[in-house]
Amino acid sequence: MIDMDGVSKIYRTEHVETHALSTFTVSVESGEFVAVMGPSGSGKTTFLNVAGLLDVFDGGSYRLDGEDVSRLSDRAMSRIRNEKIGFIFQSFNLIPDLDVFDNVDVPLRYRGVGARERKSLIEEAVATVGLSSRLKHRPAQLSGGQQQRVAVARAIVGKPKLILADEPTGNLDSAMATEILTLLEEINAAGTTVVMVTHDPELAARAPRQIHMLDGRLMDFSRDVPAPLFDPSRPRLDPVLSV
Amino acid sequence: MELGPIFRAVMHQKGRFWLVALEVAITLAIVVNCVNLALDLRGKYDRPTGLAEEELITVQVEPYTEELADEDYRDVVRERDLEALRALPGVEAATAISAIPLSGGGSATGRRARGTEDEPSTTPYFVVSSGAVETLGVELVAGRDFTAAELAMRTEDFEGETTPAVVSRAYAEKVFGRPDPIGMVMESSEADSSEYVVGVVDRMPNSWPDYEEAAELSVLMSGRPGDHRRAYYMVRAEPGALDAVFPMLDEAVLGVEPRRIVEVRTLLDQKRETFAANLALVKILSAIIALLVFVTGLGVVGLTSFSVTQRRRQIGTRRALGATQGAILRYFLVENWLVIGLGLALGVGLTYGLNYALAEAAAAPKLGWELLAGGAVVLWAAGLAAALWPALRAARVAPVVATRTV
Amino acid sequence: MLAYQLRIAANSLRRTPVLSALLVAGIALGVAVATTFVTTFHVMASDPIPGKSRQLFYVQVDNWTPDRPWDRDRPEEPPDQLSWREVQNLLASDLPARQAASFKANLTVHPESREERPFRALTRVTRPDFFEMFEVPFLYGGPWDAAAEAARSPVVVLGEATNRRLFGGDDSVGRTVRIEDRPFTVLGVVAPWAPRPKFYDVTNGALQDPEELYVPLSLTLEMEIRSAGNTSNWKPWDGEFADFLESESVWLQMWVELPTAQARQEYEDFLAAYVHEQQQVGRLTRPVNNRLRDVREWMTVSEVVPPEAKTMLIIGLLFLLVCSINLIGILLGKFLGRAPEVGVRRALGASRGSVFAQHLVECEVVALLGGAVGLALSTVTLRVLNRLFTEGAERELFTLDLTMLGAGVALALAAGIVAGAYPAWRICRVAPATYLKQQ
Repeated sequence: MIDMDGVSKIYRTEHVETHALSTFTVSVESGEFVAVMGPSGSGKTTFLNVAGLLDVFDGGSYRLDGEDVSRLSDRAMSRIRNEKIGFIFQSFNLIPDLDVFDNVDVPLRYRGVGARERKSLIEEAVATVGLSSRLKHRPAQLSGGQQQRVAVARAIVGKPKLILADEPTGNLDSAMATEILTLLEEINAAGTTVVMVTHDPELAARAPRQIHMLDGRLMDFSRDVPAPLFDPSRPRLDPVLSV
Repeated sequence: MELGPIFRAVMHQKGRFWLVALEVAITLAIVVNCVNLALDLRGKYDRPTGLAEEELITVQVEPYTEELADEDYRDVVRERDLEALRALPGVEAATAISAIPLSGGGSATGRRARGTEDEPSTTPYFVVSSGAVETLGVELVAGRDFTAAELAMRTEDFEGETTPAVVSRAYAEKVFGRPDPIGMVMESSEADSSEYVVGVVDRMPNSWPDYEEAAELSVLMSGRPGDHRRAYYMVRAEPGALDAVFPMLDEAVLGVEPRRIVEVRTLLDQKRETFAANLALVKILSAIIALLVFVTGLGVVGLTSFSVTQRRRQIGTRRALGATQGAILRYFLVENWLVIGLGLALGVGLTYGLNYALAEAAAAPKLGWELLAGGAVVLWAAGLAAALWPALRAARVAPVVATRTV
Repeated sequence: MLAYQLRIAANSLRRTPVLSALLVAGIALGVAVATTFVTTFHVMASDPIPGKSRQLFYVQVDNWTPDRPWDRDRPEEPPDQLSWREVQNLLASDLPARQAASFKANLTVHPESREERPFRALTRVTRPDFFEMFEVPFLYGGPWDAAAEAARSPVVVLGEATNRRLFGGDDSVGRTVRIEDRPFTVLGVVAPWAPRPKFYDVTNGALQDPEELYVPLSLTLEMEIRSAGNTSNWKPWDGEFADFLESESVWLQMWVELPTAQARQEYEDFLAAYVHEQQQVGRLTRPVNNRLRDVREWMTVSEVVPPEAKTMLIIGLLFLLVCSINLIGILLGKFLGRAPEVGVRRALGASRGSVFAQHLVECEVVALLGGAVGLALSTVTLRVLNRLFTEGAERELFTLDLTMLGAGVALALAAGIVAGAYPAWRICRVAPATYLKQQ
C-alpha cells in the first residue's frame, strides 16, 4: 500500500534547514496495522502528511497503492485523498457548525454521490461507530470520545483503502482511547490498512507491527542501537551540575 | 453543491455571518432610497417641457425712468423692442411675456370650467404678446394661436370681458376633462374673470417646475405683459445661432430705450439655477451611494477574510478529506452568496421601512419594487465580487494545516 | 487606572499600524459624513435669535374669502402675510414693546458717477423698530426714528456691501444716495448680517440673501413700491396703486415684540377685539382665525427646514452606523487575535469587567482619533456643499460651530461603542486557561 523509498522533506527558513524526513524508506502492505512511534520532532507527523498526500516531498519516490504520486496535480491528489484515504486527527477536526450527519457527509460531497446513497453510507458508518442515536447532535454536545468516533465514521464512510490516524487518542482518557483502538482494529479486520502515529507505547503495543522514527529516519532495531540519552562516559555540560 | 450543509452552518453560526447580513441590509436600504430620491430629483429636471429650451434666451428689462410709468409709452416701447429683437440676424421669433417659465417667479390664479361647481384649479398663467407660441416652441395640438385682434385686447385686470387663452393639454384634461375644449370657458369662482380656450398645446411648463401638484398646468393669456417695474422678453434663436444672438440682445433693447437695466440669460441657465439645489443634491446622493457601496464592499472583504482566517483548520481538514481548491473556492463563494442573500432579504423590509420614515418625515417619493429588485441584484453581484479575494485565499490553504497543532 | 489603560491602548495601536489606520479611517469617514449633514440640518433648524425668540411674534389675521381656505392642504391656516390695511390698523396699537411691518422690494440705485450703470438692490421696506427687534448690528450711525417714519423722510440704511460699493466702505452717514432717482440720506450702515434661516421673511425660501437697503415703510404709497416677494389675493382689484393698497391682497410680514406672557395675552385679546370690530364693519368675513406665533413656532409652521435636510440627516447617521458595523469585524479579528495575551492577563487576576473596559477604552481612543480626522474632513465637505448650494454668496452658509464640534465628538464616541462593544464582550469572555498552553 505505502511504498516509500529514500523520501526526504526539508523545511527551509531564512537561517535554518530542517530535515523532517531524511532518506526515509518504508513499506506498508495492504491490510497491515502499523503503529509509528518516536519522540516529538522525530518526523512522525511529517511522514503522515507525506503519506496522506497532505504535503509534498522533496526527494525520493513514493508509490501509494501501486501508483507513483510524486508528480501529481493538486486535483489528482485531492481525488486520491477523497477516495483512497481516511484521516483521523488528534483534535478531531470536526466542523463545529455542522451536526454529526453533515460532518460525516463532507467527504461524500466531494465525490459527487447521490443523496440517497449518501444517506445510507452515512447511516452505516455512524452505526459502525455506535452513534446512530446522535445523528442530529453538534460536536459541542458530544464528549471527546464521541467526537473522535464521529471522526472515525467520517474517515470510513467512503470505504477507503487506507486509514491514517495522527495521535487519535492523544486528547482522550484511557477508557475512550481503548474504545477508539478497538474500532480501528475492527476496521483493520475488515481489510483496511491502518497506519497510526502515536507516542503511547501501550497503544502501540496493541498494533501487530511497530515502526520507530528518530530524527526523520526509520530506526531498525535489528541494526542500529540509538545512543543512550545519558552516557556516563561523556561529561555533561549542564552548568548547574558542573563542578 | 452543498447548499444544505452550508445553509445549516450559516444558520447555526450567529456572530460573523449576521454582521455581514446586517451591513448588507442597511446598505441596501440606504442605497435604494438614495437612488430613488436622486432619480426623482433628476427626473423633474429632465422632464420634457415642450419648450425649445436649447434655443431660448430670456431678456429682463427694468426701467429706471418715470416715463415708463405711462402705459401707452410702455406699449410703444414694447412694440419697438420686439421689432428690434426680431430684426436681429439669427433670431427666429420673439415675444413679450409676464414672467419666465421655469424661473420660480410667476403668477397663478384659480379657474374652473363654467357651468361646473368644481374646486377651482390652480392656474399658472403667462400674459403674452404676439408670437408666443412660435417663440416658446410649444406644439399646438388643437385649435389655434391668438389672432392679431385678440392680442390687441387690453387685459391688465381680470374683470369684465372673456379673453382668449391657450392652455396646456394637462390643464385641459384637468379643468375640462377633455383634451380639446376649444371654445369652452373657464372662470374664477366668483365668475368675475373668465377666458375662453382658443388653442391647446401638447406640453407647456409653468414657473414652478418643482411644484408637483401643478406639474404641466399652464395657460397663456393674450395681453400686454410687463408693468412699469419690469418686463420680460423671450427670444428664440435659429438652431445653432444661440451663441451668436446672445450678445446682441441687450444692445438691441437698449437701443430702443437706454434708461433701463437689462439682464440677458439663456433659458437653460435659468432652468439650471432654479434646479441648482436639486442638482446639487443629486450629486451629493451619488457620492454617498458610491462611498457606501465601497465601504460595505470593504467590510464584506474584511469580514469574509476574517472568517476564512478563523477557519483555516477547517479548510485544511476539508482538503484532507478530498476537496479540491476549486471546491473550497466554490464553498466560500456559495456561503457568501447565501449570507448576502439573507442580508438582502432582511434589507427588503428595512428599505421599505426607511422609505416610509423618509416619506413621513421628509416628503420623500415612494419606492417602486423594480428599483428595490435592481438594487438587490447589483448589491448581490458586488458582494460576490468582494468575496472573491478572501475565497481565493481560502482555496490556497494547504491540506497540511489539518495536522498542525497550533 | 485610566492613564494605564490609555497607555496600553496606545501601545496596542502602535503594534498594528496598518490595522489601526484602517480603524481610524473607518470612523473618520463615518464621522465626516454624519457631522456634515448634522451641521446642515442644524444650520437650518437652529434658533436664529436665541434670547429673543420667545418674545418676537409673527402676526396673522384671516382676511380671506369665506368660500375657500387660503391653503387647501391646511384649511385651518390663515394667510401667511397681511394686507396693507391690516398693517396700518394694527400698527396703531401701542401694546407691543416694539413692532415692525415690512416687505422686500427691488429698488434701483443710481451711483454718483455717471459711468456706472444703475443697479437693482434688494430692499427691506420697514419701520424703525425692525432694527432693535431683530438686533441688527450697525457699523456706522443707526436707524431712522419714529418721527422720520411719520414724516416719510427719504432716509436709507445701507448694507455693508452696498456701502463698500458706493462709498468704498467709509462712514457714509449723512451722504446722499439716489434711489429710484430720488435723493436719500444715509443714516446708518449695517454690519454684515445674514441670519440663517432668514426667519423674519420666509416667503420664497428661508436661505435667501439679506437685504442691502432699508427704507421707511411710509414711503410705499408715494413711491409705489411693489413687493418682490409673494403677493396673494382672492379678489381681483383694479385701478391705481392706491387701490391696490386698499385691497385684500396680502404681501406684508408683521412682527411684534411682547416681552411678557401678560403682554402676549393682552395683544391676543386686542387682535380678537380688532377682528370682531372689522367683522361688524363687514370687511372681514371669515370666522376669527388669528395667529400669534413666536419665532420657533413660526419656523416650524412655515417648514423652514427643507425636507431634504431631514433626509440627509437621517442618511448621514445611517452611514455612520454602517461604518461602525464595518469596524466590528476588524475589531473582532484584532481582539481575538490577542486572545493569548488576554488569557495571561486573566490568569494574572484581571477581571472580566476590567478586560472589557480595557478594550472599550482602546476603541474610544481609536474613535476619538477618527473623530478628529473626520471633523477635519467635514470642513472640506462643508466647503464643497457651500459651493454647491450658495454660489457667490458673501458668507459661508454651513460652518462648524462649537456645538457641531461637540456633536462630531459625540458621534465619534458613539460609533466607537457601537463598533467595539461586541468585540470587547467577546474577548472578555475568553477563559484564561484555553490559551495558556499554546505557543
